[in-house]
Amino acid sequence: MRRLLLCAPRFYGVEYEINPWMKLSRRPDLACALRQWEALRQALTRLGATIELLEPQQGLPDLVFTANGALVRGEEAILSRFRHLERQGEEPLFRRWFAAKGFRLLTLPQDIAFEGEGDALFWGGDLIAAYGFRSHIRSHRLISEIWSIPVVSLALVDQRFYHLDTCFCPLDEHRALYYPPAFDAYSLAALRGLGKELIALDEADAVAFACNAVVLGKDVLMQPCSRRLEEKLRQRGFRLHLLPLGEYLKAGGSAKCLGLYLDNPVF
Amino acid sequence: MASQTLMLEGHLLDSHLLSKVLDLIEAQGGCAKLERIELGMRRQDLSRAWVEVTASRQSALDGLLANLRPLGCEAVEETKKGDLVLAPAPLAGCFPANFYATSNRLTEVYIQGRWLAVTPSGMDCAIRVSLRDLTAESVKMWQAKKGDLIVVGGRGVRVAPSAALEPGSGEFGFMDSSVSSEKPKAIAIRRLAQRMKEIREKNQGSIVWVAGPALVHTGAREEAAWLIREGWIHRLLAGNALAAHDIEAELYGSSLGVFLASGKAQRHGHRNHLYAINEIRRLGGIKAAVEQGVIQSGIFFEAIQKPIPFVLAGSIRDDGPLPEVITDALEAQKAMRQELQGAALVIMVSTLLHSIAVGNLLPEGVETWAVDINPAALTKLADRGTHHAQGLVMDAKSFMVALLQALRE
Repeated sequence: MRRLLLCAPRFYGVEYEINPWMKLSRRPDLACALRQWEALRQALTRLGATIELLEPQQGLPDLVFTANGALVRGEEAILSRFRHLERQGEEPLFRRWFAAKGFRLLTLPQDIAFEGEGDALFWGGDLIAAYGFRSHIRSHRLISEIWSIPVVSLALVDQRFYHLDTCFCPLDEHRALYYPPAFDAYSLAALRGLGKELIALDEADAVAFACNAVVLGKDVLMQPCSRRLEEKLRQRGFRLHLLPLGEYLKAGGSAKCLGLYLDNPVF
Repeated sequence: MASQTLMLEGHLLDSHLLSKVLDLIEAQGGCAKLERIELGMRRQDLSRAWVEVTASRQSALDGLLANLRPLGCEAVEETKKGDLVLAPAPLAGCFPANFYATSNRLTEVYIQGRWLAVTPSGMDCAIRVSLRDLTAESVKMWQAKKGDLIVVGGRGVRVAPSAALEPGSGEFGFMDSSVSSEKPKAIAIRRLAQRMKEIREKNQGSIVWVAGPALVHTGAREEAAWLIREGWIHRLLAGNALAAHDIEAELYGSSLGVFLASGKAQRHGHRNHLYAINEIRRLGGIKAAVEQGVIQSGIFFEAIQKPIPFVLAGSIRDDGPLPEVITDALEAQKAMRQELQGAALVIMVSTLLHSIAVGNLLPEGVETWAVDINPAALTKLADRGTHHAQGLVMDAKSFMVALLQALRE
């Protein structure tokens, strides 16, 4: 079963605005956020996932979004280089955690932004990686060279979907959810060119961050979505676990942002 | 009109990036010309494309380039477009004035309407062009023959953007500074071992070692012998001293007169290496000594048994030297260059001068690791142009032990 890294939201909050979801005037309710996170953690555990925890730290409100801290493949972790100064303070914490756990650490040059699994998701043997808002396209080339893997680079064009994991979600090796208007035409052609099944979301599901789902085999954990999407997933044999995570949407995150896969296989 | 060549590298076709770049240039009123494309042979391989962008004015071109940079396009450093200027070498061993001095980056020259790669690439060379065969090669000063056509000035020469894995970028430079005594070495060494395995499995080229006598002084002779025996060293570049002390250890159990087993200095032990050299000279060389059963273990025993090619380059300080040592510096350089052909990885262990020499003969792309107890040695190596070397500040023996362990994992 899968292994994920989470970070308790003890110091979570909206303390700056670095995406269109964040509004200093609309801060999350911490007690509610804690309950929602705890429900996610319990659901993951119940479904058999192993949960590792990163120690929260005051002054780093986005540390809960562990997906952005690194990208793991086998026993190696490419550490993130956050684009925004506000999040760069998280880098040493991820570095320390991964080093302590015995991962081989790889870092990209300082001037090349890369936001971990937020912008790079494995889909079968390919790495689907995004650029445009947070990660620099040069990181894709480096990752491809480091791991000798094919990387499909996709351009994000809608500010609301500033990370790949907000508009794309591999369900298994052959299927993925996506929100087409988040990508430019070339990227859509590239995605479709892979010849796999792409399930398109409508805008309502997309802005509810239905793509920001954690997938554990046939179990999919996400924010409540439309009946239509539920139906599409059920028809394909997936079991949906709908969890309200609205407090995290206020910072532009949801289920997937709150967890980082620690066991991506080497194909 | 203003123009500039860009290089684009990545999964250009899978990601539809090339068409995106070409369309963007046209949409913004520029003119794009795809000059050359190198396609990756396997799905995971990167492709490269060179695109010439032309715009009506320099300001328009600058605007276009600014929009292309986020797509990963990088300007190729190019001197003024146009055919090369060539001048004959005035004498053997001498270039014409104002010759183009190469760097270790991928370089191309524009001849008769097309770009030709300069091979082999090497730094501090000139570019010799054959108009009859349409070839361009880098040559050292002493290689020039009277009348050779040499590139002068900078017209018609272009250099690829610096390779992706600069210091501070890849694991070969993955840590933030390329030389530090305060890095977790075990991780770096495991990574190195993994690369060695990968190179061997995928047949990517040879693993070349450059080693100094500290390998023997610190007691890593057996580890080095094991590496040769097990096929982890494909070429060995060294000097008189490594061989002399390896053989001293074989014949007398000491290195520079210090017993390797006990660490105690032997009385008059400093003579041992001279006796060892003398004995090998009497026998006619290291190979002859192995064949006659005088040398039965150690680094050069394994190198001759395996066999792997080795080059012993001489220096002014040498005692003896051993018969295999090449005392003509230019001949030694030629032999070293020959053995570096097809190198995928170079590992330099505790030898400053040989490391700098080898560094100068290497094209930039070749992964290089340098191990030295003295951080200044590694910094110096980088300062002499081998920027891409990943430095490990540590004792040779500790390095060898950790590497063996990682290779056996």
